[in-house]
Amino acid sequence: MFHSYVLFGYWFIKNVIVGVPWPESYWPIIATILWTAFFARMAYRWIMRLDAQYGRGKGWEMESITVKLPYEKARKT
Amino acid sequence: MLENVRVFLAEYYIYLKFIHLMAVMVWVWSTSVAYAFYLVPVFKAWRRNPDDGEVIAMRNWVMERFDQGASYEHTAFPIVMITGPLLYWVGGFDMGLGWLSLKLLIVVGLFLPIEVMDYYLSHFGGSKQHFRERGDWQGYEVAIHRHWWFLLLTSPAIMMSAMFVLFLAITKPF
Repeated sequence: MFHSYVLFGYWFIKNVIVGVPWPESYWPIIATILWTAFFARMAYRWIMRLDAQYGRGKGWEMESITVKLPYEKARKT
Repeated sequence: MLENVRVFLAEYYIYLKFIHLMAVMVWVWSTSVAYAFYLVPVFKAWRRNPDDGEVIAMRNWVMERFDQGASYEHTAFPIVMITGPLLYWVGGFDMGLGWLSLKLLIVVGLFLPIEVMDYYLSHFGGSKQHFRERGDWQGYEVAIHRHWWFLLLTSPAIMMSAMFVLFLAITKPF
């Protein structure tokens, strides 16, 4: 959706606001489609890894210790 | 009168650009270390151990610190959004420049709505500190989940787009 917005927005700026014909070939549309497909796959895998849905966290270990966590006092209103 | 202001400011274009670039640097990088090395490891540990009370306590503390740390980014962003159009106006740029059109499309269509949501999540209605001070722990948990979802969905887009916008602004390729 975002890539469509950028493609259409750029088309609008070039053709309507500036008054220059664009695109002059199919390459911008092809590049947008290819980049969208690549980005969608890359983003999906990025999100899944970030959310710990991929991998098992073998590089980390959990250590149970007692800590004091400083919190700001509630603001008086 | 506006033309007089523009002519006056044109003498200070390079100083406006300095302020703009400093603010962009803060906006882009200020949360990166906290995000990558504090927030992400703790949240991943939480996602793998969702019922672990000690992990949840750490998660909550890290999230609230991150919310506070975002104040640097959220102070810089309005400066970027004010100096950017000033540079456009004072510098005599026009939308015929391809790199500028593409950059502005990304700024208006992606960065602006994401930052509006980020302000809400970190400082206003979605602020975890506010829920904690009210003793609303159910709301707190909802807010944590909401913020995590937001970070998950926006991270790839923001990281790639921010680099691309910097590339466009510096190299001005078309």
